[in-house]
Amino acid sequence: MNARRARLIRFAPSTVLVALLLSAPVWADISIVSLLTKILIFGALAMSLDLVFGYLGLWSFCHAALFGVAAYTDAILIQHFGVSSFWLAAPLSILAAAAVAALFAWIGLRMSGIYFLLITLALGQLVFSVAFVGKAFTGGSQGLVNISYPNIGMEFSPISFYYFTFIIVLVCAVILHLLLKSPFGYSLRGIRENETRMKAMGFNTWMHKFVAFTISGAFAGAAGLLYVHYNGIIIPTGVDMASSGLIIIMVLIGGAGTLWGAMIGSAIIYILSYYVSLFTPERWPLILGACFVAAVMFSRGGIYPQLFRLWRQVYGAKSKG
Amino acid sequence: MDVIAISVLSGLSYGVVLFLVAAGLSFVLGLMGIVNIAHGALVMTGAYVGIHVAKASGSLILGGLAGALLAGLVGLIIERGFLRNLYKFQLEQILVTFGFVYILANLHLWVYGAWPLDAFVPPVLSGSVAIGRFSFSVFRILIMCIGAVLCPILWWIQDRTRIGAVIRAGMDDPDMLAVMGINLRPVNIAVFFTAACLAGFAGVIGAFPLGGVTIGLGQEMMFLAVAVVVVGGVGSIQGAFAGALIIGVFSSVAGTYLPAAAIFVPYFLMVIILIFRPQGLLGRTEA
Amino acid sequence: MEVMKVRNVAKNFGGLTVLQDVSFNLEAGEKAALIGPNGAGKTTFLNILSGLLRPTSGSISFLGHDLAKLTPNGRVALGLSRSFQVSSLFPGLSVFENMLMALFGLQRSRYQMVRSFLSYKENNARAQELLEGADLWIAKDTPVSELSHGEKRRLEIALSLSPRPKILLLDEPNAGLDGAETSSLIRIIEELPPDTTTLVVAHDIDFIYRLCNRVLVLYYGSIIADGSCEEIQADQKVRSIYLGRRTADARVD
Repeated sequence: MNARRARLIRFAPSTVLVALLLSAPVWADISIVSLLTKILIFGALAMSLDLVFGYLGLWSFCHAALFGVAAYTDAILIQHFGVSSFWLAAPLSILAAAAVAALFAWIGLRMSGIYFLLITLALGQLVFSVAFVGKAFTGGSQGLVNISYPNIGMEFSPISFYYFTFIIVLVCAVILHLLLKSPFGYSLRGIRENETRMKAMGFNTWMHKFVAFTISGAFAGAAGLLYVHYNGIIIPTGVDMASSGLIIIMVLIGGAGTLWGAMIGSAIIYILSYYVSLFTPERWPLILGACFVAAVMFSRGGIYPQLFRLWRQVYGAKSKG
Repeated sequence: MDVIAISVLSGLSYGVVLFLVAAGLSFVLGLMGIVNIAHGALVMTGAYVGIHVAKASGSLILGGLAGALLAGLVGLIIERGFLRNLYKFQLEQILVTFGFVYILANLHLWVYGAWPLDAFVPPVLSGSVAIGRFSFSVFRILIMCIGAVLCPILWWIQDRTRIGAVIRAGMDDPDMLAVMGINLRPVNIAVFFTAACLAGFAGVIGAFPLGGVTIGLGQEMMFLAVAVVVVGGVGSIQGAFAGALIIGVFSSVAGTYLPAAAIFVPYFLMVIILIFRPQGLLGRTEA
Repeated sequence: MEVMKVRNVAKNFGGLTVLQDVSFNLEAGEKAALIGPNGAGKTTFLNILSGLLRPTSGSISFLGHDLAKLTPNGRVALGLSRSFQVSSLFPGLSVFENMLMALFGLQRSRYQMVRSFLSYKENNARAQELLEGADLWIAKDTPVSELSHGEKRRLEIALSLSPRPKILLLDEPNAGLDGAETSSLIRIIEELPPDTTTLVVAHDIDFIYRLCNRVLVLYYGSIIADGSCEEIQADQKVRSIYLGRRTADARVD
């Protein structure tokens, strides 16, 4: 088998997937398109978490809060400050999320492991508390409602918003992909595998962690921004510890440290949620819980590496033939 | 003056409930290194079952026992069936117990429906005592008494009995115990079971100060228990007690003057402690 | 020219005193060995030098800079480099990637987020040079977790050589290596620029003989002897520590 053919085969699955996604409005009905939009948004959030969780090894329990900071900022800017242009509200919201992430990192990076988990949990819960009690700005427990599609000078429909989301998420994914292959990205892996050695080689590991966490916050913010326009509503329970936990689970199910695994994790969770809700919506949390338990008990490393291995096996065998 | 007195007393009774929940969590974490996110859900399980039993039988004691035992049983199932294979994989433990939170919450919803459950207050405890201009419920006084009795008992077990010594040694150096021929496994299981029972019991009696039992109670209790363990320190009764009372009283006093502030107190204290004294105020081991 | 001044360094861990009063100077280009029984504090001392531990008291200056004010990575920027007693590598990365990582440690481009890690031609060339010198170029794509012990040690040393250090700290570099591997290790160290100062922690007298011109003996936290290899070998105190009282009194033949 020559190199050209091998390359084609390697990219085949992702090409097919992208083709399917791009053509979705053609072969799927509107609820599926909406589901895909949701998967993409939460997949982007999960990818932002994977940057610090899978690659850097930081157990962050506050990413839903970072997501929420951007979502709330965008909603507040639109509803309370009358900011009508998406191109103004969006960067401000992402900046807000990144700033909060930087603050959390500055406070929390003095410790590691489970202490980092605890402090991000507490800080995330503080954000939740602010959202819950800040009635004047955040709408309290009711949240902020009636957020319409982004104002970029064109009329959106669910389908055009789907493409809008697809483009933005794709851009985010490509940026993250490049970042992870760069010297900075490798330094994150180095820190996770052997931080002492990294310091002994001259790396200022605190700075790398700080920058990575801030960037991760920015991407979580991008997802939050898309979410508030997709959902039309943002409420406090979307940004609490349980939501942060769910994001971690998506990353773990799909495969931590693989970036694309995060998207797969999101897809698995929401596809399951969709189909279960068709039959027994009240029992969905039960099934979700059972999935977490099953996922841990039966596989280590997540779905993405398993799929990868499976693919390699199938095509490895063929090429020898 | 009496406003403060009432809010402090309320805070103390609330704190006792937190203590019962957090003490178990603290020991399980310190001894077995297990992060049990479902611990809060056990509070809810004990509360639902215990209160129904209490209402049916008219006895708070029976209800408390029933709640404790059932919570203990569920806890045991989780530990023996699932967590035993995940020893030292703290992240996986979090995932699995997270799953059980969803499972337990949904099971309760299925069986009991979504209406909040009122606490069971036996007639003998339904009165109140006057403190200044305010009345303070007798039930809360009972809770404080329970705390005043249980805490020293547990403390005594921790510091003065052989089993307490084994548990403390197990937190410091389990390998040494193995070398000495002491099998920690039954001790671990017993501690986990006791922790779950305490949590269930706390759910039954705690329903009153908490204003009833809802599906969200499991999560709420978990956040608070974690905050108590962080503030008070891992692996000691006195740590859990101190942390619980501090959080209880601060939340209550803050809430009296500024209702919105109460929700921040546990997390704010957690952040302060994690920055300045990460091992907690009276902790025995690192988490 | 003095490269390092160590003054009255002491280190306690709670009640345990590991280093009592360590003082010595190192000149540029000196090849010194630090020997002593197990538990004497040698690795602790290296950890203090490289910044992983703080001394309880005492001061160290390196090229005129007070080390107490420098972070571990700050010291590396000045020219300090160390190898670890237990190979401290990146098991999930390949040999080549490990070496590249070491090269990026002191470069501005370690914060680069766009260009590929593998696209820096100069780093690639230097990595190849260092790996060839350590006979590891053939294994460049092997994940470190699959290397043999000897290969890991060679990589370990090669990593510590990569920043062209002014002072090189080696912690038992030949631990677990056979004769041939030890010889190739010695060759690598001998090929360093002559003005590189080295401080080697080792146990093997032959190894020290071949590599070093000065020996410091650390015994329960203090330097009890400091001289050339021959002087140390003949020193009564040292012999009685290593060989026991009776043999110490016997003559050297």
